[in-house]
Amino acid sequence: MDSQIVNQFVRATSSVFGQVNNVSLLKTDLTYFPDGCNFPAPVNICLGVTGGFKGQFSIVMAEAVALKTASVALAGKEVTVYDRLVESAVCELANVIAGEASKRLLEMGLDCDITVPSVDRGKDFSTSSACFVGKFECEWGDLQLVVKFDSRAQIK
Amino acid sequence: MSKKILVVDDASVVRMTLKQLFESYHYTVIEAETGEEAVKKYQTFKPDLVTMDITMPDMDGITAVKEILKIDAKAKIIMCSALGQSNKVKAAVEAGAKTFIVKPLHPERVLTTVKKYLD
Repeated sequence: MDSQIVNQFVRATSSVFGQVNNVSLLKTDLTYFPDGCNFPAPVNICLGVTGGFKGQFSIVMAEAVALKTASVALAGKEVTVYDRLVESAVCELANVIAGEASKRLLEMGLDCDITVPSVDRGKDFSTSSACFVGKFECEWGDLQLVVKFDSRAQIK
Repeated sequence: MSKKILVVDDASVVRMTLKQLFESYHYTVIEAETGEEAVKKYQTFKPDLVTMDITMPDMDGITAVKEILKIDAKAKIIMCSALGQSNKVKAAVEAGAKTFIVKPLHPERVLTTVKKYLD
């Protein structure tokens, strides 16, 4: 069940990233870490998920990916400095990915809501809870997806 | 006089994108970052149309739709949200939104929808 839920986030990430940024995102790995994990997170966008599945969903990306995402959101304008607008663009991307994942989860019978995203920059991603980490690559740089379960999902 | 559109979204990049799009078609744009701010700005500016996100701090978009419709039962509100689950669309339409556009937003689709309700 957990892997089915995670797969919805993986598929949503690939599909939305490609659709929004017009860049192919290649999944290179998906690993379960039962005791948590720790890795550098240049830009970490985190959203809470409530309802049928309770947990957290994070998109961790290289700063270059964040800048390029903002550039696309601003109709191709070159973006070289990480500022609030870049933060807003990556939050919006994560929001749309979460929305797409929620739509897919509802089709599995899990009605979920998404919280407003928050961003951390230049810190490590660190959790002692069990989580799935998906690794992706695109021409702009690397991206990771982390799905963390607060509790077992309940199928209705 | 140009028609007024109130753009409600907590993401500044979305507000900026929609503002540029609407202004290039000579609409006047007013922005709000939260549902609560949207209700206040609706009262002040009486826009011809509102684009409304759902997930926002303070007051969510569906509550804001209900509050705006208490002020003006004829308010034209288009939901623009990443939450495209069928139950969210249904809740928004039941709250009184005219229609629902699922993000990512495509400029042509947004414009066509806005024009349909404004003209």
